[in-house]
Amino acid sequence: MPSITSWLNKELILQIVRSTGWISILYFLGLFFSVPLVMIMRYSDERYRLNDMQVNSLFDYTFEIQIGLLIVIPVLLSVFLFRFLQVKQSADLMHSIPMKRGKIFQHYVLSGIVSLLLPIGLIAISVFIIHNLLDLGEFFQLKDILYWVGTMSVLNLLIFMAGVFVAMITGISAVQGVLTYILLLFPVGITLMTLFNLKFFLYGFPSDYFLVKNLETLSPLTYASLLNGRLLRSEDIILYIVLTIVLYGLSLFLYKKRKIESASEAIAFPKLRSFFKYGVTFCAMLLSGMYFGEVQTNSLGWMIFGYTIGATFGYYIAEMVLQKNWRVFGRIKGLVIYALVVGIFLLGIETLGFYENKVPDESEVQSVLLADTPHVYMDQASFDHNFVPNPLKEKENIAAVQKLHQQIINDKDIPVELKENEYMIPAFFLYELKNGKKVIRQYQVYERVYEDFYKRIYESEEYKRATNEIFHLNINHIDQITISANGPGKRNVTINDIDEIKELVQVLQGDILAESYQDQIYFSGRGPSIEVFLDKDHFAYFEFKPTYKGVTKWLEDREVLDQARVMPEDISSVQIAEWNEKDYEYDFPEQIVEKMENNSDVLKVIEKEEIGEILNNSGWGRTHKYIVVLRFEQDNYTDILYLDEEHTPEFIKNHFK
Amino acid sequence: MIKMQNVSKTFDRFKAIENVNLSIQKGSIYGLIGSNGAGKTTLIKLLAGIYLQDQGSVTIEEELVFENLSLKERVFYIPDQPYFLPQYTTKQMAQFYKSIYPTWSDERFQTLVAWFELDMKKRIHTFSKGWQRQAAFILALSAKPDVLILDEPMDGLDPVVRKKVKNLLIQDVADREMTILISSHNLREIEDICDHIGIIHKGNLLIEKELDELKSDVHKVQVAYKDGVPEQLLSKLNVLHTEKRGSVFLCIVRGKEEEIIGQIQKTKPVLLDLLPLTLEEIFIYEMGDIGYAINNIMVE
Repeated sequence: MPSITSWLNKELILQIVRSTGWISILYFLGLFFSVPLVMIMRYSDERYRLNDMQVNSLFDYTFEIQIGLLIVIPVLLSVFLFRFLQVKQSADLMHSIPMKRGKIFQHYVLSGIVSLLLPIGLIAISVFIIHNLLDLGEFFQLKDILYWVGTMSVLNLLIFMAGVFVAMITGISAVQGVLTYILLLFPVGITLMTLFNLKFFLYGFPSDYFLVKNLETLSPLTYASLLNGRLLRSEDIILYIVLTIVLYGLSLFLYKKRKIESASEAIAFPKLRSFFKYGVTFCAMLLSGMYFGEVQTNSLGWMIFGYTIGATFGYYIAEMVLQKNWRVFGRIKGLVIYALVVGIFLLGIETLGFYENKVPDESEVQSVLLADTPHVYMDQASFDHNFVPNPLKEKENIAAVQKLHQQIINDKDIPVELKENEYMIPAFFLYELKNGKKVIRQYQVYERVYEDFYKRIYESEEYKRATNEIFHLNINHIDQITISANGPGKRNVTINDIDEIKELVQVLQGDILAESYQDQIYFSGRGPSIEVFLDKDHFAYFEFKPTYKGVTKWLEDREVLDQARVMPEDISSVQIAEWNEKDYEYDFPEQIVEKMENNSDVLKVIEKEEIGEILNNSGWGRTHKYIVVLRFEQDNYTDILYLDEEHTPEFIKNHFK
Repeated sequence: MIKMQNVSKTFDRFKAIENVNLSIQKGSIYGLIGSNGAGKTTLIKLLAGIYLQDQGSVTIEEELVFENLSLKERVFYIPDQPYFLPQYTTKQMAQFYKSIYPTWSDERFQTLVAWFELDMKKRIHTFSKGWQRQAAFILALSAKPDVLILDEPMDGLDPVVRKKVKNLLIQDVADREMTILISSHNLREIEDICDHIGIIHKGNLLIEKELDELKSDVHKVQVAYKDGVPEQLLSKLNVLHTEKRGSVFLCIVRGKEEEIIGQIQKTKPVLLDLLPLTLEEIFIYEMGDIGYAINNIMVE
């Protein structure tokens, strides 16, 4: 291709190599020590060879060094390459010579690309040679080498072009380096900060729901830092290549537009300066707001303090960078205007409340999902079996959910007084509307306040069927069910027979359908547990509550009930005392037992029938009236349970009267 | 022919030059005089195609300079502080320029290196300031440009080298009709080689003159009379300035030499002397009020 070779100016390329060639050499050496050499080192140690050589991808060879180089080298190269543009004298020299700007730019960028790709290519070749010499086919294949070369090239070029792009915008090399990393992390950072801040300002904003959505793929840097654990997806490769090309085009355009005299200006384009200034102000405000919002949960005063501090810091730092002087405190006008605009904006969303007050109309709603976690749709790629509840479609349930939702909104400003052992739970709403849109909200609520609302929904058959995993298991895939009691001894029952499994699942489903909302809460967490194992790596967890009559009978019929739960015969005695927060909160069982020894008013029960009654009625419910210490026959083992007013047997009430 | 028409250039709201009109004839040596910060360097960088004007046009032979490859191949610019590619030797710089300037002459380069006795294998940044400037001249003249733009070129050169350089420049102008723009804050430094002078002050080009015309036009006359200066003398001559030193009367007069002498001799003076004027004096007297402003510029 004579046209290209004659277009290339060898002297200019020689100059570029003379001034930045060392980066390429450094890159090669760094990669050489972290990939081929490490390969040989691990191979040579025969004891650990099998273990150490086994890799998912070539990134597993001293990943930290590879990723460190990947993050540092392309930016370093872009800074050194375009140093000539940031130094007045060299910029003058380079632009006084008869060479068009486009040509100068292309010479520098193309040389940069070659200096990045050359070391990567050489490393790939040396890995290939080692692969053949040592016969490493059992550890990795040629396609792994190609994947490595491809991924490294794509990421290197994108990071490099980002650096080049920033070089066009700024006139100071140090600023170029810093701004490049900020630019690269910006998509992740701004998303994170916006989500967190909206959570504070928009009551019901489902930030957690959005946060779980592949945030790390938004920046090539965070993506790169995960390369040892995941593959670069083909759609991301295409996106990165497109971005690289776009950045190249933009940089070339800006280079031609750029004024040579802007060398040593922090921001080369005057029009971008206010954008930069207020951008930094805004981001610093969000960052500081996020910090104070998280540290001092839901305190409006601290939030505003955080915003003020952040915006002021950001504004003056940007101003200092632009003026290249730290004495800029007199320039307060811009900050005041900014504060006014932000204030009016925030006041606007707060008072208008379009977002906060919106509960979709019943006629619009196709279905609704109510959950106590915003993480219902976890990243499917990283969790093999993640049960996703079904949304509710019945009219009555939709209406009930809306009622609950509306009530939560109405109660927005009512302060919550939590009792000591209680906490708020998330209430997550996801409406699918008939027009295809979604309305998603997330709140922290004090569930007890909304008991009546929850009861109606939770006790409906549709809700139980939609949200309980027992209704979604593929029974034919179940290998085994294990019911384990807490307490010492051999206590567990395993069912392997497929017909028995089917029966038990049906019985359990029946018990769950019959269960009341109060019992569901009161008895949850106290055991025994029912574990269902399917398909090797999938298992589901349920509870065997004393109210599950069907399961109890089913186990009784097979004479294994005494293995599946704690029986009165296992207990030597039970001690009961009135619950007092101050006495028992946060203590370990041993300490609670010790305290009870010193308590004068303790009821000791040894009657088996009474013990049985206690075992069937005590739980981990939210309100404690009495504290119950079970002393097992075996091993001097003790266990703690609680009773609330409603479930307390008569003989206990009588004792404490 | 180099032309600037209504050219303005602003740096971040600071107007560096404003509405400048300037023209330089082919084959002339144009001296651009101005104090520090007057806008000389800005004007020069506009001519060299480094800066782009906000307003007006900068042309050489009626073609715009900015990003004009074929034109810039004929223009060479030496900045006020000569700058070379980092770590480069004169020889490497020569190779670099050779690849860029089609008119480059190796022969010329060798001759000049020999003449200046420069070590061309030594890194230029290790040279003293004066040697760096000589290297810059060698490189510039080897490129054989049609237009040579020099920003404060005599800084840091000793009188011998200064003479050497000036001779070289004049020779190139004579041989090849090279056009030179040369800037200085000191009129005296360049008045001996310039044929045209432009004075720039606070971003404005105040005057542009041909030197010969100026010099033949203004005269300094010393006269003395027995009984004071006759009234009619002053009214018949175009007097720019008068001064009395004792009985000697000193005046600056515009006009042809013979006519002035003729007029004065008619009044029978006791003493009559025609003295040479420095360029500085010509400017000062010629321009009246502005002249005094310029005086401040040039007394450096």
